[in-house]
Amino acid sequence: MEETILNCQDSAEGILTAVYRAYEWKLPRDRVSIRTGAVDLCLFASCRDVETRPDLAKKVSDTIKRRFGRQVWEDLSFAMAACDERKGTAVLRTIDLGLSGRIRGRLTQGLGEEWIRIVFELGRRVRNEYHRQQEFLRFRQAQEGYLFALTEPKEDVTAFLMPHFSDRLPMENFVIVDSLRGIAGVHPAGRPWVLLRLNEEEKGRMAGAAGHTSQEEAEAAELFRCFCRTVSIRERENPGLQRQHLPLRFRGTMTEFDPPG
Amino acid sequence: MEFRIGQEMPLIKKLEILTDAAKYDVSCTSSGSRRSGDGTGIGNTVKAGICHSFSADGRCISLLKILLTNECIYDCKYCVNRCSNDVARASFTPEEVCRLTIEFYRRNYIEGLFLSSGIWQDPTFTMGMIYRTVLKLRKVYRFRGYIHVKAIPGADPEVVRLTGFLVDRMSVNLELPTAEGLSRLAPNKHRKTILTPMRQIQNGIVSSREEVALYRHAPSFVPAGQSTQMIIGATPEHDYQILSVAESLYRKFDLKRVFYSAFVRVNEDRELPALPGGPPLLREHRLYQADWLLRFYGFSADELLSEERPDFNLLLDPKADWAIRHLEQFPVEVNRASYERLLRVPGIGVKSARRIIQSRRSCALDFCHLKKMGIVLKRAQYFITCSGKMLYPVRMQEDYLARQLIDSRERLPFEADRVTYRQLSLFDDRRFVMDRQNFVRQAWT
Repeated sequence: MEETILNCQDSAEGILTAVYRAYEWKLPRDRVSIRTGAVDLCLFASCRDVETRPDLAKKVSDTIKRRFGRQVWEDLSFAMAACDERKGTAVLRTIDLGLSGRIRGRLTQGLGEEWIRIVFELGRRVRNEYHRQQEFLRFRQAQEGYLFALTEPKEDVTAFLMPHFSDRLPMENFVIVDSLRGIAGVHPAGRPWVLLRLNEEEKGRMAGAAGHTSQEEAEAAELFRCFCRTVSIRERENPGLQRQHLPLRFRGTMTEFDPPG
Repeated sequence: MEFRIGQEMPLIKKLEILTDAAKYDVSCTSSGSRRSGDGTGIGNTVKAGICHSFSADGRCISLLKILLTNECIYDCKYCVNRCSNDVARASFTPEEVCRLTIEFYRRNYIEGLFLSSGIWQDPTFTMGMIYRTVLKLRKVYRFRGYIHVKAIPGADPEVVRLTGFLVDRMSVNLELPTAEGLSRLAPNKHRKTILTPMRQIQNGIVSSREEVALYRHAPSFVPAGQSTQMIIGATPEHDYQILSVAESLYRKFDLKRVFYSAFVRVNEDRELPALPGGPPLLREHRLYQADWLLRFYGFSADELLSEERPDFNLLLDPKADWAIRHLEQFPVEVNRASYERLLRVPGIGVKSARRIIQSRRSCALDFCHLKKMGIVLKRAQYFITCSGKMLYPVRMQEDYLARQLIDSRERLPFEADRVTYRQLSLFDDRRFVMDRQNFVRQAWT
């Protein structure tokens, strides 16, 4: 029997809608793959586009939470944020395995199954990136007084970062911009945060914000640079170890590694 | 009368002096405490802790690690801030510490504050200054992030108690592993005055836990536990003594962490050892590895070291070293072994062992599964079987395994030790090297 490729939007809602459709259309799950983004055409596969429907995605997410628990839902959410072509199919097959009742204990811990292992790998990758962004993200204060952070994460983690920072800085106006994907998390002081897709003009404006920081910002940055410089012990210096913990790709947006002047 | 020059110095200069003075303190973790924001103040804490940067020496920057002042009435021989040293002195005001903490925190530079101090006038006065600073940060600035302070030995217990309710972690530095070392290098400090606040904090934590269990909103005392640190290499103790001290601190004082700090010679003093090879970093590394084995892997100090073998093998990590000396306990069958036995396999850590236990419930695991789970097969392959089979046929022989397990990425002192576990080379022969030197000398003359 030929394979069916479901082509959906690259978001959690898009993938969950595709999962819903796979069951609704009674497609054999072992012959279905879900793709996000550009689809490679195959000779023996039929391709169907799936339009994102938040209500259907919610039904699937409710089922996952009810049947497998919140922890599994969290694991799958992290996996769906990965920048990897296999994520849609892996989520579908994992849900299918869970519904079949073959996995004992928590679904996402049945690492003997290949698709669950892929969900685990993707989830771990996203969790690691999320953790590193929590560490290395740097806010700068714009002249208007709000804080902004420009990030370039490997995985799509802005939606995970927002709850962390809005709990931490509830009375601050701040924006976290994912420059690679054109997504921004906006938190107005004392109010709930929102996630936006930026248009070209807004992207340009946010990229330019780095050049318009306040005087206070320059002083704080200088103090922190002085602190980082001084706290290192000369006799123990080890740039290799520093690079291992703090890879070079993060340093472009970090205040302490700003070029002098 | 005392005159001070340059009392009014800019904030950046003060920060430089007081960071420089605090940098030898090693406990810079921000873990152990989970507290969410209150919606109006600033800050929260995360159980696992967050490192925000890494300095040029590869150590993490998690907290704003500063001294309140580097003025000190004590004259500890190893300390850069001792009263007999002629160094630039400075002091922060509580307001300055609070402003720095908040400005750094809101930019996500740091996870909180680590506040220590030189002994200013007397221990109680110093502890009082620390208390005032922390109180201001918590009550006026509404800071809910992580705070770690030093409890000053000899300070009034009431001030220590009050401070404990405001901070996440407290630590009292043990400084040196034995009382003899302490009396030799830190004549103003005594083992008893160090252990007294440690016991007080331990009792405070226990009674606070009971209160919180009864009344949910009761204030918690030092919720992230207490820690201490020891200087390694300043006095001639062996690793066995150091590890035994650490073990008894974990057992008797319920410490969260013991930190080890490789001795850096910052003062010229005849009591201090000369370290031509630099600070004993590899020794410090091995002690940390062993410390993890004590806390999470169910090892005891007596299993790792003994009176006859009082120091760690610098070439191998302590777990691998233990494993090759206990080959009768291996190989371990991954699909059947208990969690405790899995933990003793080099290359399998706490997380991996848990993953193995959980995933083998649904299917039999093979080496391919293990690799994808994150088990370090490079080390584990010699000690495990999957469904009765090893990955490769392996000689269960101590020397052979030791050679395979030596990690070439570590800066190993091959020359310092006679045991090398390396294949014998022509150049290892001392006579050959002598001959070659003679040959070169003759060629020049």
